[in-house]
Amino acid sequence: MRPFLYCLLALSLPASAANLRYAEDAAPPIVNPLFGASMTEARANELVFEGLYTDNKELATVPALAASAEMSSDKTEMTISLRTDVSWHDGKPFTAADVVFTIQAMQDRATASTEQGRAAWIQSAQAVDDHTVRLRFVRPEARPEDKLLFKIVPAHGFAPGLPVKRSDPFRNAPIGTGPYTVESFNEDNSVSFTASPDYGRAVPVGQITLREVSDKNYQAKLLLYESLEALVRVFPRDLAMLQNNRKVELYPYQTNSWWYVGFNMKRTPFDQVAVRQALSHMVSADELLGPVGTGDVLSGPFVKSSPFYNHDVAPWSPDLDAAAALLEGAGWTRAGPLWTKGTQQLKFKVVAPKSIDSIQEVAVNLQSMLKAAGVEVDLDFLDEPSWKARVWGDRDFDLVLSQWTFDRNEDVREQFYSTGSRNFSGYVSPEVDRLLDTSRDTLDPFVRKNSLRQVHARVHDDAPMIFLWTLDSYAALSVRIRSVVVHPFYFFTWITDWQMK
Amino acid sequence: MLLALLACVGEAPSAPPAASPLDAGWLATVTNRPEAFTELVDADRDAWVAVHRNDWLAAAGSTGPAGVRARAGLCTTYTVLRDIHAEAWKRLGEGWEALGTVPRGSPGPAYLVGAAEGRVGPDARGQDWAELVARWTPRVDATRAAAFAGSPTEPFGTRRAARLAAGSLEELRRDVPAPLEEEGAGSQRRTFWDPWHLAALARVSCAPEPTPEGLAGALFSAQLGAPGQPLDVALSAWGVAIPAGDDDLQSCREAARAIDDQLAAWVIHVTPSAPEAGRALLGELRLVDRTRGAALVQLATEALGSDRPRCALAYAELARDHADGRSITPVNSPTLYAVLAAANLYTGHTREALDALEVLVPAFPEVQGVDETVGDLAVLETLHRSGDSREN
Repeated sequence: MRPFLYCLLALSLPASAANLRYAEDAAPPIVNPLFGASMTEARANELVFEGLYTDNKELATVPALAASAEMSSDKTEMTISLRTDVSWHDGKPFTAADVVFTIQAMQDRATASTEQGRAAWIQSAQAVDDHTVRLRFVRPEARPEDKLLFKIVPAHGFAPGLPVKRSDPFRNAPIGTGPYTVESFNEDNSVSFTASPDYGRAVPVGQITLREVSDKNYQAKLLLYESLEALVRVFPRDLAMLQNNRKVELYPYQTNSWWYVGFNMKRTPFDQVAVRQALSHMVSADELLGPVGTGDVLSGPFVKSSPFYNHDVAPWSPDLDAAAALLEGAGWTRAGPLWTKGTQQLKFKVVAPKSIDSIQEVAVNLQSMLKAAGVEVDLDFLDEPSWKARVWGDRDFDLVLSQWTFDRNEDVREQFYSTGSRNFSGYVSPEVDRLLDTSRDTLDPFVRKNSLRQVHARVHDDAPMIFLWTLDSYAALSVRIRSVVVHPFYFFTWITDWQMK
Repeated sequence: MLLALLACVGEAPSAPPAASPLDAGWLATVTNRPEAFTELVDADRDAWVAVHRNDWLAAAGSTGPAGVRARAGLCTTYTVLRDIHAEAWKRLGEGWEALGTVPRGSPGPAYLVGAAEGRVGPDARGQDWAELVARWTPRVDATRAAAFAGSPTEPFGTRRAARLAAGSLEELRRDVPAPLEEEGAGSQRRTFWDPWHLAALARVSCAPEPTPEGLAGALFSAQLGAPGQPLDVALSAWGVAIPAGDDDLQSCREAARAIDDQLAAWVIHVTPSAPEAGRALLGELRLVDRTRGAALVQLATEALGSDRPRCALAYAELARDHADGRSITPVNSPTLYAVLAAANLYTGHTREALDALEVLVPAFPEVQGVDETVGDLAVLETLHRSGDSREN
């Protein structure tokens, strides 16, 4: 039956000479960089939008929408001249007002942009004229262009004034300045992109289609049957098959990702460190990892090859005796199947996003593991809007099972700073705040490294999360796609150099 | 997996070539005359087994040809690592200085000069490196400056003298890797690692010795043609032109794919007539995959040497057995990971270089110092950035 299905798919979706079809586990419900929380959205945004600056292939910062810039002598102000040859996809000119609008929308509390933290260092943005922007900074900035990589959106694309709403029609009719326009959101959950005729340079791959292929087991087969040209994340068990096929090339796409179980520390009993540590001792990350793929079990919020990983800190060992000692020390007893304290039982709900590959298998195994240790867990798998509303918005959960992916800065400030926009756990540690401030403010690489190694150790001990693992990660592309260089985080940054045979 | 290449769904070569350089090479010898393989390997079994699994440190103590081959592998690996260390210090030192945060009296400049000295030898041959040494030497504090003149100051001068005098791998690998010096404490702590260690390891493992002849000189090697035939000559006989000049990764990927085609054709051509024992060796020892990997790593190393890091990266990524891509295996050699690290470093992907170095650290603890230094550079290069993070 399955081979028949593949053949059918292959027949029904003939390869087009200039259409690159890539698979995502879940299509983005919206394309709007102000509200991009997932890697899927980040990749789509890369096709449609541009920043003032971008990475070149050597990962150095180079101008994109900016033409040139001047810094004030005290490094608290930057005046940026914008390119005058750029139009939005609807033909309207790109101006300084768009830059100001983007920054203000990112910073606006009521907008609740997911990008808030990326603009927090800017005190004010002012349009000097149509193509000149002046930025004032909270503190002196030596190389502000390194932080001006976020995407710019058009002021005229939204209902006037702030806040910007996530539900604004822009979400399904985005307007960018990037190499591709969004042509359509399709009924099969695919998204079609077309090369923008007004982009400043040739775009050899004329069309791109993002296809939602939620069953990871099919993705590699669709690639082999030429119903896709690219997989952004190869299912680990498909690696051997794909690397032995001469129609396909593998590219390391080692974003710095780690899986975790996060506690809601605003809720009892997760406000008690002993309970969090006890639960950490109840989980065997090695056992949970086995069915998912190959990778490293972690002891903190960095991957093992990171300069910030603290190799002196060992992962919590699976140790039910140690867990029991911690719980008993905190007044819990286990007379029956569950741990109890007065009328309270260790019984709660884990929420997880449906869109993450293999997450249901991990969650079910976690549930069994905790049950054996005297903890009852209900599972709730959420679609993306529900996830964003409950976890990002209302913080309505006991535990979350999810994954964070970082660019090469591996900046965990938003996750662990007491006021961080991604600090879902509600973790508060003055010492960690101090270390994160030091790491942000220092101009000494050694100091940043060691500050973050100390953050690793402190966060491990405080256990706002159970850190699980990082997975080996690859992308796979048809050999028909040539001159491919994949950005280590955003994937499509250099797509205008890709060619299709 | 004999032949994964055969199992491919991809386009099979239409007709095997009448003759292939491989017919005159060691792969053909092992396949057609497995008794020659058995005879050679049985003479020094443990060492050859170690060479096969790319455990060169285990084989390097052998006094036979397997030891020579293992030391040759170590020579290439340590040389690449030595160059990485120097390059990382060069960029780290210059970037750190530009930030204006090098403390007065910091050991940093001495370690930069030490790494540069290790890269080119005590007389700092090579114009760029000589200039670097000349520029930084005045910034070295007086005590450590005396060490460069041969004074046995502790610990810097003593270590330098020891590294310059070291004569054996065992001696050089005896130390438990640890920072040679530290300054500051807590989050202000800075560590400085022996800048000459990898250079000394490269020097010792690269000491000239006679190349074994015949099968012993070629078994498990990248050699595709007759004994002694350079790789590019064998490839040229296949009609595979190795791109030179431009650092065009697509041309290099295509050259690698052409090698795959030729290997697949040869396997089809040779296996039907080969004795069963020969076919078994070919399959069970993954000799074709191994040879392919070794040849691509050699091309990657040569590309690095000719300042074509994008090609080096293309070859090395294609050489890598991704199904076990974070281990040293018969297909994934230590040189592969060293070259991956170097190619990433030289193309600006410093953070990605750490992924490759991390694989080497368990087997080569002496890599820890270069791993830390490249890590410091990676941090420096992103010091002004604010990060981006996403779910899934």
